[in-house]
Amino acid sequence: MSDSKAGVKDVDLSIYDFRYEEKDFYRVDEGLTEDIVRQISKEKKDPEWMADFRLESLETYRKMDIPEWGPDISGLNMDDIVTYVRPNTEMKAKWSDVPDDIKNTFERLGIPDAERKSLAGVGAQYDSELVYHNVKEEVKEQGVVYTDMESALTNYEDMVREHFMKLVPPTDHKFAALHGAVWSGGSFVYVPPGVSVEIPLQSYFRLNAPGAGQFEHTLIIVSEGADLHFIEGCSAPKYNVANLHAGCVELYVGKNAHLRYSTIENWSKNMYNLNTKRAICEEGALMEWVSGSFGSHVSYLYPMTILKGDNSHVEFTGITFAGKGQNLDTGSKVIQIGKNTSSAIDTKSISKDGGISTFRSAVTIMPDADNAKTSISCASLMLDDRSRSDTVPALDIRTQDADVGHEAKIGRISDDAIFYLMSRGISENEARAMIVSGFANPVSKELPLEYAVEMNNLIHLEMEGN
Amino acid sequence: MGNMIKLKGALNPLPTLTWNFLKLNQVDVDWDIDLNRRGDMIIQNIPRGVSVKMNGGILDNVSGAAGSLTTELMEKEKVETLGIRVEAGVCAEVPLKLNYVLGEGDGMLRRQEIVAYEGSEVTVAMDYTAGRTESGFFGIQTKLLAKKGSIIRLIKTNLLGDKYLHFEDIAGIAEDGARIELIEMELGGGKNYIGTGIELSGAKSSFVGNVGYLCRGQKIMDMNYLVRHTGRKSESSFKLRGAMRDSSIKNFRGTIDFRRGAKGAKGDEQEESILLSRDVRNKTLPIILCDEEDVEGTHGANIGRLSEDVLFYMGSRGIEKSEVEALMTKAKLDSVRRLISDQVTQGRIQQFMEEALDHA
Amino acid sequence: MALLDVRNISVEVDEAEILHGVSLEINKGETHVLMGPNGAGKSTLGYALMGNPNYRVTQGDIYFNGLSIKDESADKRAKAGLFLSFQNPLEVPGITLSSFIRNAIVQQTGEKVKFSEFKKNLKESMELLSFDESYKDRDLNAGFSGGEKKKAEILQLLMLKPSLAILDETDSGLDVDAVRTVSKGIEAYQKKKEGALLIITHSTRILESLKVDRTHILVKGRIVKTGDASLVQEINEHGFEAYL
Repeated sequence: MSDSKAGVKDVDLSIYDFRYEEKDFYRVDEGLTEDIVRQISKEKKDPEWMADFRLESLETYRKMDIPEWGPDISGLNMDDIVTYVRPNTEMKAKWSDVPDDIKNTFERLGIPDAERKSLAGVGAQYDSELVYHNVKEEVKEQGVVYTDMESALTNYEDMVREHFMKLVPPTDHKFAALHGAVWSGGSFVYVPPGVSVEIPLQSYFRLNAPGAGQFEHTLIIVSEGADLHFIEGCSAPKYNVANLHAGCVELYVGKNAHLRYSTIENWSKNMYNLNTKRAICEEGALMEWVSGSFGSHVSYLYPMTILKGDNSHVEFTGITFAGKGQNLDTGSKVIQIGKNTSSAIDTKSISKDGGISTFRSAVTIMPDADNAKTSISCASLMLDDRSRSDTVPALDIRTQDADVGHEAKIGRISDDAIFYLMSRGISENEARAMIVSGFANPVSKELPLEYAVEMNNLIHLEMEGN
Repeated sequence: MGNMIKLKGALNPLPTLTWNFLKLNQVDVDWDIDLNRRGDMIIQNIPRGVSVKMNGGILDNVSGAAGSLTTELMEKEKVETLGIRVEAGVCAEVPLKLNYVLGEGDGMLRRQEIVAYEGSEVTVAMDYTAGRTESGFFGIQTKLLAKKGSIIRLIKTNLLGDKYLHFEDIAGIAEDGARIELIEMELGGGKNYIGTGIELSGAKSSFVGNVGYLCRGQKIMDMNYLVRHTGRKSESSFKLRGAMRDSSIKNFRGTIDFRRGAKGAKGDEQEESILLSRDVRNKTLPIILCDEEDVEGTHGANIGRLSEDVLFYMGSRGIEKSEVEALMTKAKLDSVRRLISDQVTQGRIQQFMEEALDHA
Repeated sequence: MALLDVRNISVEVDEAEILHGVSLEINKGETHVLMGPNGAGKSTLGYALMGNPNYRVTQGDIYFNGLSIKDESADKRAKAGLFLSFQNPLEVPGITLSSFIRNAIVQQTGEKVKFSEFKKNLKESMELLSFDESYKDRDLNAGFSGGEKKKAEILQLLMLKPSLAILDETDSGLDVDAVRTVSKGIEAYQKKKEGALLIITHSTRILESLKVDRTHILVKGRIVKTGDASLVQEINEHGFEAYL
């Protein structure tokens, strides 16, 4: 393909699949005990309330069952997951101070490059700790705070305490409880009232140590009338031991504020991705999610939005590509509480080489949500007869005053479309890749250019097979 | 005196599970039912070539979407199966009518089977009636087998009383080139649990479902429809249309299940519902399960209040809002009612609707 | 040597034989017209020549530039210089018209295309077709009207420069002005690119401004008559009745 946005050929798959030897790392014992949780608290110098919070969460975790719906996660043995792996370096403010092997990892992923080009700030998390952090001066001058969660816990303790796991309480589900007990690292962003951050903030997560879990916490507060685009990218090299990611993202979108949260997830294909993301919107706020799921062995991912304030809105655009050995259960949840709220969910899923993709959603319209609107549209593409694609969109409407539209489509690439493209001299494989890219285009066009290119690369890689 | 029985377990299980908080995975029931076996069945118009007799069922292996609880109950209570057989090649022009007439406090279980042999065609119309305000219990299971090239048209009209507890279990299989049509008017009853499962196992077999419903008062309407495509080039189309008012509750689960090997299959499911009161609660879960590449599945739903355009247009013709609501409700239901050819049933529906909408 | 040499081919669709032994020779730069009543098999011939896998050639052979293309896939035939304008072009969401054409050129020539040159050619061709330039950034055929789809097909013809173009009912469903615009595009292809044409049509409007070399009448899967341009006029006046 020649168009820059439409993708680049001959992508080197190995850039997503490399690793460095771990050495001199501090590791806690495998498995999860009260002692381990205390050890984490001590190591991280938690304030007392946080130390207590962790222990309570552990208690909750023990009491809760794993879900009986969704993909099988029996391959995940919690005793094997090392909850806390810390790289042997302190957080660095200058890229040059980051140790070479870690730096190489990020450089191969193009992170500093991307930062130099167009990003206001980059936070890169390596295993459980943030190793590199930098925010452009002009953004700092606007009063924007972008730091790691540990520093935030020290420097902005009140703000953290007021918001931390209030949107996603540990009782939400078993893995939220686990997160509450062992969370580590992540980003904290505060945008003051009326401030528009012109260029996106970005964080990049990467798991390197085998058998390590990653439990980063992202807390973003966008104040009244403020505007932010936050980009999250994830990847992990391949190991034979199962990896667990149970991060948590909490987004507070203030009155008339706007937040766009974009994610391209390309965890290695042995990852259990049990991430919880949630946003709450005050009056007149707009929340936009752009979500691409390509990696992981198993995913449970349903970013949720609570439209609390009147006239608040959410748009969710997502794509999921399930290839060989993948079972990706993704979608979105919305609760509409305020009057004149609207939600739009638009997703695409692709299944190939025995991959399973499930679109799952739930939109609830509460009794006082007068004049609520929702539209849910999901399209699935089956690329062969060994794969599977399910669509499970639920609607719970508790008021008359709603306008609900739903559309679902499932099918394959039509032979006629292939023939049409081939009659113009395009090879069959290329024709298929073009049609799949076209299918994914509504998502990639919502992404910043370099991410759109990365996404198209991923699609082409997947299409070329193994 | 009555014969109290206990019915405990799950009805209408989803073919795939989802979040528990939605409370759609199944319905947990724990009912004490007075099974006094009162209530009548009157059979009318047995067409030539169609035999109707009480005997042991032959379709034990056919199961639908209502769950195993209904079958267990039928077996435990030794409910005999009414067997309806349509000879090969017979085209029964007049519909066979099964009238279930119930009164205050009646409790009845029924079980029946319709087997249409090769190339035959039959219409079976089931009318369930009781007084508008009466209470009671009616549970019924209907199994269908449409052999090669046959057509079974099943028409159900539910005009039970407002306090009736009703469950329905319809399970059918269509063989090569066979077609099952279902026309359903769900107007009466207090708590209704409808489970319908159709398996399109034959090549080029098809299913067409048209369901009209009216939910009013405190009514609960719990529906679980499942169309399973296993046959090549099998086709299904399902439409649900209706209106909700007062503080009624409706749960609609509709699943199209494409199994591997159902090459060239097409399935479509559409819902159009109008909500006419603040206090209604509507849950909709339209599922597509797809284990085959060469299929086309589509779903659509349009649910909500009457559009401003309709209200304005009607208003400009001097029609009041309450009248517009009644008109639009009738319009939704009439689109299904018109599919029923029987004049008597049509009349009953008309009368029921007039009363129901007057007393709204 | 003929550019296209169709030797006695029979074609099956869904196990039903539609064409029964059709032969046809087209030389470089010639314009042939294929006429016939509905259901005669005209579009079937177009698809079979282009290599639609659902149209099976059960006997005979197809030579293009002296080589058999009967067993080649559609993209290989396109690379060899064959083009088919579809009666109902497919909508392909997510790929813009311009990036699609560029892609096709790159694939066919195996060479990089200079962006500025491509842009210039595209602009000129679109102007010639009175095709609003904004359409180049719209998804291929998605939401295009019937006329716009036909223009997009002729635009591809002009940009891809094949040595033989088969135009399947390119004039159907178009108003008088649109037919004129489209035939202007075809004329440009014929003259500037010295392209050969096989025009499938059941009307004659599109032929008015074109120089026609041969005319073939296809009825019930067989070519029943071949003549010169005057045959078009004859059909125009008397219809196909004489051949049914």
